[in-house]
Amino acid sequence: MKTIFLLILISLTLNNCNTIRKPFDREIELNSFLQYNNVDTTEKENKYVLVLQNHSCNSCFRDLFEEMTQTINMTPIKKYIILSKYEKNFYNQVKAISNSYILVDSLKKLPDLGLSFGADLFIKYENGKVVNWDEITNDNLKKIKNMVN
Amino acid sequence: MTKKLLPFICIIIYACVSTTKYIEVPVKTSENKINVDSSYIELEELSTGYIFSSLSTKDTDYLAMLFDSTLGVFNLITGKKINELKIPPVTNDDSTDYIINSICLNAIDDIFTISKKQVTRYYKHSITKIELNKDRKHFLLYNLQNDHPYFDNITNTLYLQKYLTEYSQSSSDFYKSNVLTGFNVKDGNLTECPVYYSPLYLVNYYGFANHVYYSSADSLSLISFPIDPNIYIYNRKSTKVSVIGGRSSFHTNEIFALNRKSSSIREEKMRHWAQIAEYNETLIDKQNGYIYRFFKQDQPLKDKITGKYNKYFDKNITVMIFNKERELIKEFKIDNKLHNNFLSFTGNAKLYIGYNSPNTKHLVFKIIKVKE
Repeated sequence: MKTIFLLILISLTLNNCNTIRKPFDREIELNSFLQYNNVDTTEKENKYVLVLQNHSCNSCFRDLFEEMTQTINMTPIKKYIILSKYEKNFYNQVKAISNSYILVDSLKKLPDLGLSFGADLFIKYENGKVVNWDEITNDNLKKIKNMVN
Repeated sequence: MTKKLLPFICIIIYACVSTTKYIEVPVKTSENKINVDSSYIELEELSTGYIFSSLSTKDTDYLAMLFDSTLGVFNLITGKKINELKIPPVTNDDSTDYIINSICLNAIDDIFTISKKQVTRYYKHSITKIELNKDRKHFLLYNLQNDHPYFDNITNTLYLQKYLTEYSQSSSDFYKSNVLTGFNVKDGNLTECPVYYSPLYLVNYYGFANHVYYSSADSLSLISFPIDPNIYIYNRKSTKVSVIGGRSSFHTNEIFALNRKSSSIREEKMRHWAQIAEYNETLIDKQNGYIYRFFKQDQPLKDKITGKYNKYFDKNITVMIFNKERELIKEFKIDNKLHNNFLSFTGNAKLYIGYNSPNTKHLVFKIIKVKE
């Protein structure tokens, strides 16, 4: 009886410690957006997709973005970077990322597809499927670095 | 066996009993049918600022609005700018602490700007800086959602939102605080107002839907919350709080809560917020004592007909009007593409709502008046 109670208590504690990270539930919509922009989503080659929302360049985002780009620049994997709108300075910064393809949502399709997330996204594809993803925040940067390495 | 379990049973019973019980007050509806008139006022201004404050004198309504580095004051009869203040840029190392979060138009020539660490008073030609939140450890006086502070000229007290800094907004402890505090601009003394977060927040977590809306006129302050149909009325003279029913007739589905584990996932909170029904600005009219309230209807994550994902601003909006007897006398829909309830305030027996006019690039407000 005591053992059962202890096991219940431990599992409840562990459950409460973990943050929920659900599977990426907009894969169909993301593929739809990529296909609309002539990206072959069935290709087996691994790729990263970044979805970057509106940004007025504030210092918090700038530091995070720099660290993020340093991380993904270290790998030759193809990167598709989706910008919710065109901003010249930001576009030029993004263009400097190695092996990157920039897609600008000039027709504002992202919100209708449910891809206007509250945060920027990093999505990892392997063999044409989303295998991992996370919001690009200071708290998640370590997890994203692990995904890249 | 029972003796061993008794302490745990006691803890469970205590947890259940100690939660403040929420009671929804039924809304009173009036049988009298009323109509409203609407008109528009176009301001001499091309920008839109989201930090603003209004003032009503006997004859005229005024609006003060913050734009980048200037603060403009507009006459709402003529639409003309009658005063402009240059706001010095923030250069301090702790710059976020000095960014203006709200303003209070106390008179045409008496304006307060409020940041986390400072209240600045622009009175006639003088500028006075008053320290705010110095060395505060457990709470801050700060308008989290850019709400409109009220200044009581008799007691020299500026009423500001209060929140606890020791707890995250996903913890029920965060919501145990009173939400309004008076700050005396002469001596820095505080007057704690016994108005608290809705008891619903002690039980459930509602993500981003935790705004504190407050609006004041004379001795009354109205406080409301997005997920609570009740409206809380604080009388600053008697220090008593009364509660009135404020449920919208379009509020048919209950507002669902979020798992507290979602608190670190912004997208979960955004999706929740985009779906739930919510009560927004609840404003008191100084002249006729009417209360105007905005309600946003709930919507599914995805539109069933178009297949498109619904966004927060796709929610249908209604305007509710309560008379002095606190009876709901009118509720009507407004076009969510044309109206912006975040830019709303009251005037002399009027409600002003931000309006996206297709005919001009100037800042426009729709004016709603009850036909008596």
